[in-house]
Amino acid sequence: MKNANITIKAFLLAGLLGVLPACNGFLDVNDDPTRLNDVTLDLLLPTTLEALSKTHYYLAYTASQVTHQMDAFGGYYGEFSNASAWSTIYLKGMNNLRAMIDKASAAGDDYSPHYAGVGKVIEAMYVGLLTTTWEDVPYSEALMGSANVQPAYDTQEALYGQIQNLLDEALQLLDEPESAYSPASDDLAYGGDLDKWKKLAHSLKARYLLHLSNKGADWNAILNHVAQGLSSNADNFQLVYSASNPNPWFTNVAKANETGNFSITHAAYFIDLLKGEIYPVADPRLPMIAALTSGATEYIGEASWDPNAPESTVILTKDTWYSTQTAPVLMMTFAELKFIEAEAAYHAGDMARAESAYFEGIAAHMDQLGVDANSQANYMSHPAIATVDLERIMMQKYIALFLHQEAWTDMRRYQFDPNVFRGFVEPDYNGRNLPGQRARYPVTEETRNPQNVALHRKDFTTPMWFSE
Amino acid sequence: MKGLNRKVKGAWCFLVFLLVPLWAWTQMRPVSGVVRSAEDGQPLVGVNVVVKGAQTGTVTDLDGRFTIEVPQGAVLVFSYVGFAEQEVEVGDQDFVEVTLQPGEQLSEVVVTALGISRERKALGYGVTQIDEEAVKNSGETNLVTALQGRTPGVFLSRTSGTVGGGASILIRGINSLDPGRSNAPLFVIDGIEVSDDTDVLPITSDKVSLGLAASSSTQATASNRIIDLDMGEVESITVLRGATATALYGIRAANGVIVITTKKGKAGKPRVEIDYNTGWENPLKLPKVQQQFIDGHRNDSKKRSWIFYNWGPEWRPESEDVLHDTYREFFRTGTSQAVSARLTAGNDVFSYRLSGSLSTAEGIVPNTWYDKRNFSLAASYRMSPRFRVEGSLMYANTGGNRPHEGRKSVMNVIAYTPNIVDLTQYETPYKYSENFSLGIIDHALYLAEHNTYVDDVNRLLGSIKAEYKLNEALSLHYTIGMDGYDDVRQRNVSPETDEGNNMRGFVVRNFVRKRSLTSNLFARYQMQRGRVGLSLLLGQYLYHSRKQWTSIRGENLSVTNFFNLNNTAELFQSNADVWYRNMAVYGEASFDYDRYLYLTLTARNDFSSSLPVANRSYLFPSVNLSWVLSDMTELPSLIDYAKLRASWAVVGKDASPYRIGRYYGLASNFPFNDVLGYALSTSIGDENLRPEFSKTLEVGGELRLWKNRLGFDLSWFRTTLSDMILSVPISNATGASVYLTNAGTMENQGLELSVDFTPVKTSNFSWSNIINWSTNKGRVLEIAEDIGDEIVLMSLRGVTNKYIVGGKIGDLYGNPWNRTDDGQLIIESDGYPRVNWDTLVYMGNAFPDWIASWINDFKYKGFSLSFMWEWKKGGKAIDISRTYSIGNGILEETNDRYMKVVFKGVRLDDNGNYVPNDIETELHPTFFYRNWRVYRYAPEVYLQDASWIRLRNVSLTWRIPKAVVDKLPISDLRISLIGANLFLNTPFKGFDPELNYFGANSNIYGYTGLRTPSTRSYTVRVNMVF
Repeated sequence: MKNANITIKAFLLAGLLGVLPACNGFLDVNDDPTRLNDVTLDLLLPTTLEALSKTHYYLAYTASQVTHQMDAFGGYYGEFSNASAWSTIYLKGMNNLRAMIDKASAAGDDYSPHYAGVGKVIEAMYVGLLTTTWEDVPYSEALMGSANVQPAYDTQEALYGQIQNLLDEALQLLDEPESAYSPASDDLAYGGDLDKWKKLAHSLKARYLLHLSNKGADWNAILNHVAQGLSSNADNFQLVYSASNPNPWFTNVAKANETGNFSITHAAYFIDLLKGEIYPVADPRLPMIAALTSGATEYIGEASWDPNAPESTVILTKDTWYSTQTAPVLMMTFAELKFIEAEAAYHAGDMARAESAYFEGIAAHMDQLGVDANSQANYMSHPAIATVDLERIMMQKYIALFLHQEAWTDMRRYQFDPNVFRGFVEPDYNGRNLPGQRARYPVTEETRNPQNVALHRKDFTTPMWFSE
Repeated sequence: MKGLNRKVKGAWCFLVFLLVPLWAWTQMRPVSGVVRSAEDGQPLVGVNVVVKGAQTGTVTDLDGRFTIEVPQGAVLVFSYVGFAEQEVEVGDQDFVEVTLQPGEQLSEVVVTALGISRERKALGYGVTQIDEEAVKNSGETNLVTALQGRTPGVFLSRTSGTVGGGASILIRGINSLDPGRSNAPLFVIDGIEVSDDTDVLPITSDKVSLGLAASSSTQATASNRIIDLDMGEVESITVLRGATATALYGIRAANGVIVITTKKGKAGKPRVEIDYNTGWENPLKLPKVQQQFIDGHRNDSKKRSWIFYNWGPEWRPESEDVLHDTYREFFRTGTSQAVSARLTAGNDVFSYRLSGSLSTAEGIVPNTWYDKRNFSLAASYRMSPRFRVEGSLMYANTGGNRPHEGRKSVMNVIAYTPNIVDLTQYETPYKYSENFSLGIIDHALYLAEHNTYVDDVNRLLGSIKAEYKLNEALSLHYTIGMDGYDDVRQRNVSPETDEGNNMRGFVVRNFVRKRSLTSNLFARYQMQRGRVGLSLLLGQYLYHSRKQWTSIRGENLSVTNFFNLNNTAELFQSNADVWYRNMAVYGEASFDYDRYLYLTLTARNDFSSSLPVANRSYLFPSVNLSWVLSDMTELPSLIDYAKLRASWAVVGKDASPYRIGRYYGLASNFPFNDVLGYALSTSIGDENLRPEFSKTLEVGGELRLWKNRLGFDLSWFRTTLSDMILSVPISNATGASVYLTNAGTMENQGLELSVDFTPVKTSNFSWSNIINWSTNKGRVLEIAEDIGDEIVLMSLRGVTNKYIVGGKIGDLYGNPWNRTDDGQLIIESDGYPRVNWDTLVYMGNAFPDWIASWINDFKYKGFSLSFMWEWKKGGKAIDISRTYSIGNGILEETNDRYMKVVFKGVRLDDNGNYVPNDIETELHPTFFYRNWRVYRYAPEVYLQDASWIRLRNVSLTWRIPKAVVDKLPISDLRISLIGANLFLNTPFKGFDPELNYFGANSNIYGYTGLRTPSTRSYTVRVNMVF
């Protein structure tokens, strides 16, 4: 009996002790095998570029309705908040961008000023999109994670200063001769061509200086940056989509139209402008930008605010230039820069430079869309186009900035003046007769950061600081 | 880490020390027997058999038989409702025959935590045990739904009326404020933790946004995995509701535990049971399709146009249009068949059980089906009088075609289909772009036949259980087992449907694999010194689980309707791999004084892999007291049994895996062409996260009167949950949208009552009733300041389900119509009211005020009739399908179209004063019914009282008289008729409000509709025993 006891005890003890080594590290399984704790710079740049392009799409979706390039089938636009753009910027664009810049800027063997420089150009662009959409936004206290869950807001004036600082820093960084890592195929926009990034930085400096035209712009400074900016359509800052990653206009508007999920289409004002109702000349770009619905022969834009308007006949399809599956989302084009130059030169009194920049701008956009040389020449020689003045410059820029946030900024700078944007009328619709000047802060921000929002919330139709 | 290992080692030493001095030796041996009634000599089923003084026991089976381990000189105590308790000295008998006299004593045995059988009277908490008869008579194939109405404190919601559809179960309400956390209880089968997961996987293309994300609302047809279990193998189910009852399961069981005991081999001659059943089902409740107007708009029928709604001219009998009741015609009669064979045999040394069952069912939606095949083997072997091993293997192969629900499903397209469309056939060859809506709305039958989602689950559950009795007092128990399943699913989406049209069709292959392992070792020591009894238990618990899934989607089919990844031009993937581990040491000390006062203390120290290393070890204690007054002192003769009980427990809940800190994961929309991009997670996990704590106080009592004919069991509890782990939404400007931290407090309070009543009991006829009633209110006490004061779970169609500090769990808020301060409806100049989309007001609660069930059992000679009524009182819900079907003019509710009305309310006069409204207006399709500013999504129209009373199930069984059976080569024959959902009474318009729009294991309540409708079913069952 005693032996049996000893055997049992030994068996039991061995069993219990046998379990113990297995307990070593037993619980250390809380690292997700499908994710990483740290990544390399080339895995962050594509993410932030894709988010930047998507942000341009989101913002243009609403901006184009304010500028009457587009109109919604379901009714004229009401107050919008652009929540998708807000979350894309902060949750996908800028947070990963900041991680990339911090990593690239860290002193040591991996110091990569080229990535930091490219990063700052992109950051300047994000700040520009943020402030032209919501005016005051979190910036200097933003992106701190759980360390500051209710970040304070920076004023628009401060943000415009930040944009120029970021671009100055970027230009210095991009000029550094040594960089442990440099962008290459992960640079979805420029393929690692740093010269193009420098041109873009100068172009952006020109764009954001021009935004402050009502605050006393330095036209010569703008023209200096234009001279160092994008020099052809080959320098256009854009993201090109593909069959496996289709263009968002294609996915969300063109394809949705085919399945009856109608969203927005070309507005009457824009169609009228292109078909020669405002200036007596038909624009050869019209059939490339808008398709006719089946059976229709005449281009009629949507005027959802007018109950007596004829039914619209235009639509974005998978074949119209801006919404094909593989179309690029244009973020900054050579054409835009030329119109910046034309406007600055016009105000600076250099009419010769304004004129040549104006025609170069029209040609650049037409080239991009594939308008043949004959049609281009016919159009540009038409008296209604060939006489260059501020109205013509801004109107051509407005066409070249189809589906772009900047068209809204331009209209706000000129207070939607019908003498600049000829024929533009803000309808009295659903209790509002003033155009949208800003997006409301998203509901998520209103509920999660209420004290700070309360300090900066303004009416939808109150002009922003920059445009005053 | 080092500190942690020391702690574990320390616990082990403690265990070993305790065991060593208790070493001794006494012989244990098995005794079997049979128990009969003195009234008619029939075997008694479910008689409690306990070894006197040992608190262990068993119950008799359907033939009145039992087997139990006894020490030398043991005395067995037999007790049964309505019969006198009887003690029998075993002596050296191997087989004991007992005849019970009608009488009054009761000492019921129930299965408790860790599968330990204990006398009910020793327990200081409420517990319900459900026997196999109740499971069988439910007519259900899912164990979760079979629990319906059988126990107070349990709230069930079904997610779909489809065959094999999911269900989820809440025990004592929602226990987490985190919208993403599961509130599902732990399921334990024979000591092994088993999965009841509902796997919701990516099934859609991200090429086009159709509101069809991988969410529980679109995949409600997915089964909860407990459905894999063969219900015929269930012997009993114990629902452990409170934290005290589940204390020994610690952190694993914060939402309650469902302990399932399966059938085992029994000593005796071989017994073969064959069961066959066949059934039919039909939709229970369908909306009424209007038969007055045809498609189109006002005076134009717009056949084959983009105007696909039903706002056209009045139908004329002479017209060629045939009107259809689209909902009624679309569904077919569902059918089911099942057959099973079960064998048990054995002797005192070795016994086993073998079983196999096959079932097949076709649902009410064309082309839906669900099959289930189960095989199992259980064996037990007594190697020596002291040592016994049991092993079991359960295999299941289940699956069916379970297309998605919700947006773009058949239920959604019918809500768009005008009544002139015949849903029983479609034109061939079918072209989506040329159908009745010119390719905007799918034809429901084509959709059902072509877009399929078929799953194939293979599951294996294996366990080994060993018991070593060192002596009469001390025993060692070890259980180890695994639960593993592989689920391979394929979804086909035809290019000729709305969803597949954009990318020329697609195929999704989903692979899920889960493995989990439970290891549980404990020692139990029992002794009796005079009037004081002591029972000690010490153990160690290990749990490991890993779930992996891979989803591969191929788009753009080259050969039409050849659904294979080889036929797709573009491939996309996503995958996950989730590990979780838990380790614990636990102990229990139980004292009794003279078998009327019982005190039990428990402690469990949990170690969880999903918490930060520094915070992953936590101790959770509990105490419970049971005081059986009727055994302590003489009470008035009316009272047979009276007991008071009280308990207090602290239990915790850890985080989900991988939530601490921040990671980089593959960014959405990547790979972009051939470039990869990674993105920071938008959720940040607190590096100092602690488990959340819940403290539960429970008091209750049991009273039995009138010779045990009437019994009451009442529990009251209050659970305070603090340090709740919350996904706190934070300003996106932080670079993250969610911060996971300890940030909330809530309280759950409830009352649970069970009454059983046997008004008639004679040798030939008996009638007994059980009434279960319970109510439960969860209240949000605190949400951390920087989160704001509310957490929104869902906002859909103007109805918002959110948690607000001071509010209740399940509160629903809605956008009201504009009203004056004194509550009068404000009518605008067009004669319509307006929804105020900027204001949310409280509109009700999704959870019922109370739920009750009334179970009736009649027995007359060989007949038994059982039925259960259920009453859900209160609770509101919005039927999402109605916002479509009314907006599209499909339902009878729109027959007032074009009527001239004056809304009762006030309007502003020219002086800016409110005067009674006198503006006549027309109920216009576009400006009224389809206008979201006026009526279309107005919550005051669509949010309704979802109370109901229903006859949940009825079963009539005839046991063929022995005289007849004896002439056949069988020993027992029963024929049963079972009906489910035979009657439903509800003020709710639309579908049966019982189905939750958000699927199994979602925490969002108050939404219904767009589900395959629930069904009324009939089953015929034949049961033979050889």
